[in-house]
Amino acid sequence: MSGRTRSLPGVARRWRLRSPAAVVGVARAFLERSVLVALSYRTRFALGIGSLGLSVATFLFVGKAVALSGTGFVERYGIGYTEFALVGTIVHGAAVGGLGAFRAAVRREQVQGTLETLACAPVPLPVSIALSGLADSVVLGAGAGVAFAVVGWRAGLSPAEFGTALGAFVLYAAAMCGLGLASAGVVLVTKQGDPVSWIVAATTGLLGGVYFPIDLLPRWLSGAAGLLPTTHALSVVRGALGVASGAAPNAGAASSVRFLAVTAALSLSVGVLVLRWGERRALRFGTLAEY
Amino acid sequence: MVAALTRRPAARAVAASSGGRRLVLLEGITRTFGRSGRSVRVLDGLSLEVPPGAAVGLVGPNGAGKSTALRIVAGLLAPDGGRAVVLGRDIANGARPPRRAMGVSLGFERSFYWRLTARRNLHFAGRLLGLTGRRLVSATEAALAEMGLSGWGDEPARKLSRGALARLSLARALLGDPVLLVLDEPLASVDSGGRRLGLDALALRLRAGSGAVVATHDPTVAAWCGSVVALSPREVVR
Repeated sequence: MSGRTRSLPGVARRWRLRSPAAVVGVARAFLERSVLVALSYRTRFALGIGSLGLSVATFLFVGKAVALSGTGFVERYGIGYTEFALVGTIVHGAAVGGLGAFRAAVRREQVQGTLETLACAPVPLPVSIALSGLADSVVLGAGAGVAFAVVGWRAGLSPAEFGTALGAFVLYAAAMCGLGLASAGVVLVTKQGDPVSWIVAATTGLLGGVYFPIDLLPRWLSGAAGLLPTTHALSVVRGALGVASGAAPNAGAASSVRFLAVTAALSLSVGVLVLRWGERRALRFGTLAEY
Repeated sequence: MVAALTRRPAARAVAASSGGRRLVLLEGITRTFGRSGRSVRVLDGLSLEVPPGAAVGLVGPNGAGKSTALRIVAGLLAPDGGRAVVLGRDIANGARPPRRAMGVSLGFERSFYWRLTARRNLHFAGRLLGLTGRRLVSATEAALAEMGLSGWGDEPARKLSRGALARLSLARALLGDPVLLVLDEPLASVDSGGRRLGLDALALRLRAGSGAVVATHDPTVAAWCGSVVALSPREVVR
């Protein structure tokens, strides 16, 4: 009786990624739940779409103003300011949304009292949190995805350029998701107050070249900007748009994609470790249901 | 449903793996909350056994540690000391209990997605258990019917009464034909008809070889359990 029984046929098998169908079934459960919950808040859903439209309109007019000022933005950066800022907003906004989705998923489950219910399911809690955050990201990021496709289509991106831009976007989102998992792990312990998201959101907004080119920054700051995945992702996407507009190809695109791949792998690994740490600590101190 | 339950290969497998004697074994479990300065010893040497086909009731005043004991059995809380073997897993030493074989109902009022209907809540839980397609639909409908909730399936959880939520929580715990039920006040706020349905559903599982640990203040539920463990009020340790 002592010790751990290794096999309990048909009953006590540990949940693992045993088959694609099992993974799809669980992922579908979370996605369906997120869609139904999002649609049930109709006003919020409509306002979200409205906000996206207002952002696009705002940058459209800012771009016109920049064009009138004759600063030579297109000559210098290959694309107009409207496209520049739009890409920054869409790519960075979607990734930051991913960053916050996991923490938000943990907070929501804590506050509404369903976190213990999830912890009692056969799916390990870190997997449930990851799938829950991903499902929310897909729902909330659907608008950004459509905007990304529309911008690419309007710019006349070739399939290869679109693929490169999309690949950079996905790797960037993966890197942010890794940080988001870490953030969720911290929130499992602290309940509120998550330094991971705060640091990432604060630094990338300023240094990542979201709203303005990083070569406008002082040299010491632009060096730091080169260490952020945001900078590399935006560089690749904007470079693809520039090529479509007739500018020279982005020579640094391949190295940026490699940087993003390494960053994503590191970030996801750290994120999983921190999330598992948070779960173990919450179970140890009995604070899983607290918020 | 009855025919399916009487076979219970799952129960036999678990019973065999645990020496055929018990689904849950707690020996000398201790649990203290708080840190230096003021801590509270909630459990001090709790021992109990749940053999297949039996229900063990946990009774005692508020704060005696009933819910803490259930959380330990459910694998949601680690004990400070003692031995805890659940369905063959030594969970006191860090092993996860086999959740696919467990049905858990703790704090039912806030355990549902309030924007989803009762049926959707059960679908979600069923999918996490690995149920899909027709099996998911039939298991969900059977659970709703067994707890007398068929007419409430399309109501959002937020519109259900406390008693209906308690029934829904029990229905969810019964999904997937669990071998071990871990229940905290399963029939609180439930009317007499619902209590009869709930106790009948639990009795059916016990006859098929499942076991249950039930924390309750309800004398009827405590009397229904085959054996009862009385917990003492918590002890403050300075």
